[in-house]
Amino acid sequence: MTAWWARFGVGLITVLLMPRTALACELPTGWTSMKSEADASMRAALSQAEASIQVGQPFAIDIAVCALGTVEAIKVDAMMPRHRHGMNYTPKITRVSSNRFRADPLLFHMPGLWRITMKAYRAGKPVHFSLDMSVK
Amino acid sequence: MMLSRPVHVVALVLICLGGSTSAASAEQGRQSSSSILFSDKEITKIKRHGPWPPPLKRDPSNKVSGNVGAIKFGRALFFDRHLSKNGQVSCATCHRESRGWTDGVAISKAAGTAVHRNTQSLLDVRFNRWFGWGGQADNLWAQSIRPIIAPTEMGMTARQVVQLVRRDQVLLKHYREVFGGAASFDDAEGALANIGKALAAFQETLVSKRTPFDDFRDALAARAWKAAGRYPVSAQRGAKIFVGRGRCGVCHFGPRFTTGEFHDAGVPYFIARGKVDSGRFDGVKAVKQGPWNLASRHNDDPKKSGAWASRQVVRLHRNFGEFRIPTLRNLAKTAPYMHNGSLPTLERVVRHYSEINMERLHSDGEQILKPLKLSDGEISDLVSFLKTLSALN
Repeated sequence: MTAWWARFGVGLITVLLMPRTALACELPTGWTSMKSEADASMRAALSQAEASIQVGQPFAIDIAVCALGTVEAIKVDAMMPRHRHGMNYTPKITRVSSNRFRADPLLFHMPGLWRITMKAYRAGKPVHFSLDMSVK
Repeated sequence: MMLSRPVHVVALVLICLGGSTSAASAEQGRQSSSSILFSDKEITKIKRHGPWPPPLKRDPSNKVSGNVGAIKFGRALFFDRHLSKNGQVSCATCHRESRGWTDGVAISKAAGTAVHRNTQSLLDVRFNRWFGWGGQADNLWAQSIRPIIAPTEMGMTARQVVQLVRRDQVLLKHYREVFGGAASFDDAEGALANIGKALAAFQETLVSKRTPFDDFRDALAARAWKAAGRYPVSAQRGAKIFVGRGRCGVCHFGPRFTTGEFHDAGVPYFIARGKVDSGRFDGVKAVKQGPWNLASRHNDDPKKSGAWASRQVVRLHRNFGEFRIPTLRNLAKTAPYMHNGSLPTLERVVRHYSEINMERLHSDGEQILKPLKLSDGEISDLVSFLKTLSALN
């Protein structure tokens, strides 16, 4: 019994510590963290500042993803949750470096609350991220 | 004139009431019940509808954009009836200056066959990203070619247009002066693109004049309350609805009062028994396949900087029955309204949105429109506001 608890304790500590210490990178300072329900084994941040987005004008975003393991690809989209519609354009995704991606263009064609969504694929499975932005 | 918010609101109220401060004070009790109070938030929203005009930039996709000779050539082409198969129809047949560069009818039958969309104004067309009700072109020169070769409109072929220019000494002289003496006619598609570019150069000169709203907006922006007070009180009440509970500015956004994108406005799109106008759905297909789009060899911009739009635009099911949001500038002169010209007056348009039939909207479409349930007085105010978006002469 004692041996089981000891093994469990060691395992728990390993799991808790591993994501913090084993992420392949740090997110850039000054970037905005994206929300996710995923565990701490993957984090993402976005370069674009809300205030710089203009209604009806295309813009690019840079996304940094730090993960335990390799992120094979990402998909980026945006929608207006209150209006229940998305963008009229599909951004092209370019891998800039091992953990950075560029999505270009995004275009918010209306003022109001937009939600940028990002799926990061690891071992073929998506991890969902989002970030809300209010565009005036 | 820097005033704190409570003071400037009161000042605006007094000025709106049209009298001197003392006269206003004397009638303050009666007037305050009918006065307009613009909050700072509302003023911010109103300011976003200006300034006017915006900077005029030349079109990088059109090598003769802003060229004086091209404007002259384009004007000559625009009014030339020989540019149609039956020799009876010019661009100006449907785009008449006296009617705000529209034709004043719901559906044009100028070429003998009824088209199925209302003629749009050419004023401020230079600022568009998409052209036509369905956005079937991503540039003005391609859009200028479209009616010339449309069988139900001017009915020409590319070769017939080129032959016309080659044989007409005046048009040929213009063409040579603008595009060079060695410009070849062997490439009919390229020569037609040049003709479209001359037409576009002329249409770029059609910019709407400043309006009473522009003066009001600029006065608010400058906090010049006395000047702002010259704007009619009914129009102010209408502006309050427009930027407030009407939420009209969500689609009719910015100085041009349009986002330039596409929406389902709940207007029927049946054009004949068993036939529908699919609007943006077919527009996306047309622009992606168009021989004169900004990704084509006819784009004069080496960077093809505008081509991203037709490359990246997505064709969605909800695009079915969506039409381009029209500008509201110069609106009073461009009746009838909507993509099929089905609403003859501004009052009918406002009533349409006030009582909009939700069952006409796509179930998978945008959840933006809902009946506003405006009173007759509110409808009248909104119409008063809309009328101030047109120049006085």
